[in-house]
Amino acid sequence: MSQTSIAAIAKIIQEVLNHQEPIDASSDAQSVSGWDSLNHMMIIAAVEKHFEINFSLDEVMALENVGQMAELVDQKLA
Amino acid sequence: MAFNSLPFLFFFLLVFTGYWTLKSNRQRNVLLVLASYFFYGWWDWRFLGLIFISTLTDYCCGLFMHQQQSQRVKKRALWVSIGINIGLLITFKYLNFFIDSANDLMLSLGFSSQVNSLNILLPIGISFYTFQTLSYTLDLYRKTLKEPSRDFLAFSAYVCFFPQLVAGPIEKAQHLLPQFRQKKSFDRNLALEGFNQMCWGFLKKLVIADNAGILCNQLFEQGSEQNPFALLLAGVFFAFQMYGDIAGYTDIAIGLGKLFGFRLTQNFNFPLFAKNMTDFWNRWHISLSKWFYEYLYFPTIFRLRAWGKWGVHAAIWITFVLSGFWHGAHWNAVFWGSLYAAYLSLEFLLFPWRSKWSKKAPKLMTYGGMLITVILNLNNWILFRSESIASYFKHLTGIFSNPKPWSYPISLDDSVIVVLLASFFILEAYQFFRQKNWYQQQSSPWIAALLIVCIFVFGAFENPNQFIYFQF
Repeated sequence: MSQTSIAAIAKIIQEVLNHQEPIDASSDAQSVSGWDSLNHMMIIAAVEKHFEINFSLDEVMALENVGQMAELVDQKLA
Repeated sequence: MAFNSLPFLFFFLLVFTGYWTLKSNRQRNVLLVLASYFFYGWWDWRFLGLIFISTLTDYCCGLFMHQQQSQRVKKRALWVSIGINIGLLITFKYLNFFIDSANDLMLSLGFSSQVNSLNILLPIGISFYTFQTLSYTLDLYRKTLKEPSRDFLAFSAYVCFFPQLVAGPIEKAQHLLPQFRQKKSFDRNLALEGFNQMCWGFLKKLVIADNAGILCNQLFEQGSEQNPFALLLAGVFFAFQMYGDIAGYTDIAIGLGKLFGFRLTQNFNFPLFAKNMTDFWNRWHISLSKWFYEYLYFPTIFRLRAWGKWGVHAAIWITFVLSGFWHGAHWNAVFWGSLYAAYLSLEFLLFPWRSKWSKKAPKLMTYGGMLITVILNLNNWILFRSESIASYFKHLTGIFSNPKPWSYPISLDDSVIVVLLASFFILEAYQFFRQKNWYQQQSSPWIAALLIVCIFVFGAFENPNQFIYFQF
């Protein structure tokens, strides 16, 4: 996974959740405040829009943290 | 056969002894399937056919789906499973509701001809085992479960395992099914932990839920003309009844599982102390909430993600209206689910404001959030207990506008129950704030003995109640 994707995703999450908490590859819904089931899809949609890609339902359901999301983004962009 | 009945005690002793006497895993699974069918058939033997249909359907659909290469054929097999399981639910749980609602609509439109309701009994726990078997086929289709079960005996045991058959936890195949294939040896510590948890469960059911039920029934029977404090207390007692009932059932189920060497999913995590409504649904009947999240909310919100915030609201409403309908085939339940949808929609709308204040005043937001969540839940529990939506509104109006002065409505004799409920609440608060898991940390024969004494001294044996969640 590239550090550029992680940094871009971290910025998107901070914008959607309206805070500046540090976010890295291991960050997930449990460790980031405000990242709950109501906001989760807002983050996914914002990531898709930013990178101009589309995820499938199975791909999104399998994601466990920011690192995995960045890896998936890199795969889609490759 | 209810857990809080004498026949169950004899049934359990017999099955427990037989299970650990048998040596082979296959023999043990045969015993568990036969025992579970006997347990379920005790209510009405005719219901057994429904479990068998559900088991056979998903076993065959799972195997068939795995053999197919074409995604289209796999999808057809999935729809067969959904059709049969939901078909059973609709026929046995919702058909009369649809007929009655259609009759009411026709009457209001001026048509006098009516369709007769059917004489159908609601099979206990049908919503639970149909959801469990459906999750197996859905997970196979989505490949989150890699292999179907080829062992029909183990699969049958997974569907009908008597500790969690009628009210959950709803177990995923990935978690429970492999446990029927493992050879187990008796683990004294696990069994003691299970026995302690069962004792806690019986305490929650017989001492908390059934006693709270006595006071709750007294107050609800007196109607909405009582003073506001009595009306408010009626809701509080029902909250204790509801929580003690289902959390007690779950503890008994998980404890029973441990006595047979199985680990079932945690289903409650101090829901009375949730700091918002999203948090509440992560703590209350967790396996059911996860089911709705995974198979309904998430796919819906994913498909609607292009709608932005409107997509979130739509997914919340679809999920909670259907979840309400799952809880009962009546308009109260639908309205109950809609209220939760409204709370969650509002919570989502207020997210920027909540986020800002959580940084400025975190403690105020946490404890304030807990209080608001309890009040909103209390409102929903009053609705759930009311006979109709109209009587719920009367009850609510009584709390806010009845001019009678506030007075304590409970007799001195019954105040013992109030003390018991308050003690239980303090104990729950202590465990929540100290992050203690008493079943594991305090498992000893002495604690179990003390709990049994408490159950016999304070239990409401003269007024035994069926578990509330059985009706779902």
